[in-house]
Amino acid sequence: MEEKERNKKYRIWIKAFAAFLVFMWLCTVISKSIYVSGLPRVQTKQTERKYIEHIVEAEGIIIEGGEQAVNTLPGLRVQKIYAKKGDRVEVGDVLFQIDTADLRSMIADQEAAIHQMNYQLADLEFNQTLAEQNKEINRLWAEEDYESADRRTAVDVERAEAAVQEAQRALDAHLQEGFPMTSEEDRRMAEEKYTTWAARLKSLQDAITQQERVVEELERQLAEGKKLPTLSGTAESKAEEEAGNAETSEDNEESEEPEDKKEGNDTEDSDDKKEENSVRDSEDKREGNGGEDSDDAGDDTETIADELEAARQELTRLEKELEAHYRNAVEKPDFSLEDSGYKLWQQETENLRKAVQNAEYARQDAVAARNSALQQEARDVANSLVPDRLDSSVEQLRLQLAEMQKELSTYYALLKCDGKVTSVSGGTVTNILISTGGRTSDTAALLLTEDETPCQFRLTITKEQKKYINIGDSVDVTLANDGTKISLTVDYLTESTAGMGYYDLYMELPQGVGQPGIVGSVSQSVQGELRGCCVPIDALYSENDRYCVYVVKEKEGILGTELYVERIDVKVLDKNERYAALEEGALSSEDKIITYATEPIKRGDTVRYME
Amino acid sequence: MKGKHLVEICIKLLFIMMGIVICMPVFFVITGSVMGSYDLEECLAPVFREGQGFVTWKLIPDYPTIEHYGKLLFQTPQFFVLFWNSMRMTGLILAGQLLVGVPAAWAFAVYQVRGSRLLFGLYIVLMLMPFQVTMLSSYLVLSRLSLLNTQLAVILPAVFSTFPIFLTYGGFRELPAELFEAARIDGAGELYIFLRIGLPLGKGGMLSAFVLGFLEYWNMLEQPLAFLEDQALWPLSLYLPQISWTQAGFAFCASVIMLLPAVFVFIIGQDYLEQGIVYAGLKG
Repeated sequence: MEEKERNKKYRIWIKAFAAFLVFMWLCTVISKSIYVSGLPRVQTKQTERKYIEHIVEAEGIIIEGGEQAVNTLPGLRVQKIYAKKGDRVEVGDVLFQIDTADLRSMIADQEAAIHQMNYQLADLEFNQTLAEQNKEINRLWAEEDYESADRRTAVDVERAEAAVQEAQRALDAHLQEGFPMTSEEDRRMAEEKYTTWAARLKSLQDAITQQERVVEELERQLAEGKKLPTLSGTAESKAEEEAGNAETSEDNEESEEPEDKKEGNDTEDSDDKKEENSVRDSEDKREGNGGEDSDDAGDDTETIADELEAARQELTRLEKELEAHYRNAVEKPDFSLEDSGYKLWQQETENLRKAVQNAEYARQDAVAARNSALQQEARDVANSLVPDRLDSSVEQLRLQLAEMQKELSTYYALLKCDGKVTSVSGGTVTNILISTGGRTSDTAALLLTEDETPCQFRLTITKEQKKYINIGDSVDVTLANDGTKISLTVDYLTESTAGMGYYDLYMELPQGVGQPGIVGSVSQSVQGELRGCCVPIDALYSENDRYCVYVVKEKEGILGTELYVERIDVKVLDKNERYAALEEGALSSEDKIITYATEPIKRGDTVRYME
Repeated sequence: MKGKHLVEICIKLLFIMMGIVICMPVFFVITGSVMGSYDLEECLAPVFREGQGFVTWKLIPDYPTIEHYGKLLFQTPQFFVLFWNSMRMTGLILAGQLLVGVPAAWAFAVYQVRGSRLLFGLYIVLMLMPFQVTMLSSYLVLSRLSLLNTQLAVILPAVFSTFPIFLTYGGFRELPAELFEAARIDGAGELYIFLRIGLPLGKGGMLSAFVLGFLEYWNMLEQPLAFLEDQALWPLSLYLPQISWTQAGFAFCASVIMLLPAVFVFIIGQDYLEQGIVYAGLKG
């Protein structure tokens, strides 16, 4: 029993364990299916070698090759417009009609304006003539003033020149006359002579004075019967000294004196030397005799008497010499008068020079004044000859008048046609720039095509397409109306007014082909280079102006080999709507590039292949 | 009498408390598997804040949820891959041990051959060696056999493990030798005796070896980590460490699921497990 119950328990638990395992198996399947179903599914492709073909597909329209304008006079009121846009008109067809009543009114206004202008013209012509006459008169007066100034200033200059010459003559005469003047050398010699004479005089006077003293002393001594003291030696020594000084001064001047004066000085020197010698002799004697005082008094008295006699003789001699000296007195030179006279002469000379200078200045002033006056008068003459400012108002008025008359004649012609404006050539109306009831402007009223000029085909392309079609390229155009295919050459390329990044190509159609307004299309294939690494355009992702592709790679995980996404940055060399050529090196030929994914993918995402 | 009764009650209470404490980790795992992210963050905040403070726990969560179970069971195929890896490896190991270890244990237990005791002693020594000791030599041998990074690198060494031989040997040793003699006299061959007498009577030891083997190989960590490089070959025991701490609820849920097979096996083989422990305690 126990065994049975135990076995039953075991069976229950085994069943429970089995159920658990089944449950786990179910969960395995469910979780894996949920996981797998959540994986993005991708399609991949490998790189290929391709030519990147560029197909330019665009649409265009035929436009008129040329336009001609239908003009009329501005300001006319339009009564009725007969032509419509797109209408084909021939020569003589009425395009629009002008209001005749308004035209008549305009004609009347025009005629009045013409009359007014004629009056204005007459006034202007008369004023012009009057101005010319005034100008001529001014010219004559200016020339006359010039001649008058010339004469007047010439006289002034002549006078000034004469004054200069006169002053110069006076000065020359004064200088020629000169002033007798002792030369400096003569003056110096006279001074020296006088100085010598005065020195000599003084020396003689001194010598005489001394000698007189000596005589007096001797007389006294004689009277007293005593020996002369050495007082005579003092007098002698003084005389010698003075004589020596006189010699010295004379010697210094000897070299400068002329010979005759030297001789005179020599004479004087010899006299002085004689005097010295005599004084020295008497002194020597006295000295020689000095030791003999004690000899005898009697001898002393004789000696003294002898000396007295000698002294008296000497004195007499000196006095005579003095007298002779006085007789040969040299007057003290006095040049003061001469100097003052010279000063006066100099002053006079200076005054004459100033007079000459003043006369010269006056002459120069006169010349300058003449030049200035002549210059001024010449300018006045030149001014009078300057032509007047151009005034073309008369001519302008004449032209305006002609224009108005021409306009008037046009009004008359239009009035004659009852205001109807007709076409002068055949063509299609492309634009009507006037409106019924409005007034015509100075621009064209209507625009017509020119039959002689062939139409153009205008093709609008994008900036990207512009790389493949250029001026000179040949394109095939298919016209929409009848499917005609024409091969055209691109003549012109310009930026389009349709918007930024668009360009208009213009191609001339053959004569007589197409009409403005017909649309056409272009499908042009341009083959590029052979590229070794091309991927479908769907595989290319761009982010911040950088391109990348996603490739599928394998990784080992818990679930085994799984596929995951790897991002590879690439550089695009060329691309069209289907393929992109990439720079080689980034991708290998074995790389599986994701071209399509059921969900947005990013780097690292686990993916699976699409069945 | 009363005192004796009281002592018995106290002892019982003590054992109950110890049992609760021992079972607490299981409670944490089960409650944590139904906790929401808010509750887990609040309780495990010290773990996220690098160890400041203490972890708290709620046995009854504020905001219980089964989203982790839903995510694990229906949105995580990786878990099931590893689960079946574990089931496969464990099953093959146990099957291999049945084919190799049981006959070896029968031979040791029944036939007294010269040197058998020595060989059995060697088996015991090998059984006592931890994996780390034999890891390098095992690696070299497996590398030479080109079995590295295959599940056979884990299965084959486990198949030839000595522990199940030891446990099965104990069971076979309990069988009386006279029974075998009687069978031989009746004309039974050795294979007949082994298959019709030995296996049925010795299943206690075998099943205990199987239960213990299942528990051991269901949770093995070092061998797969050392010998298996591809994550697709890993057992479930290596999946849990891959889950980050920020997915604590998910990790608890995976732990609960991983625990269940072991619980089943344990309940089924509980009686035989006790017998095996007894046999292991008996000396040959």
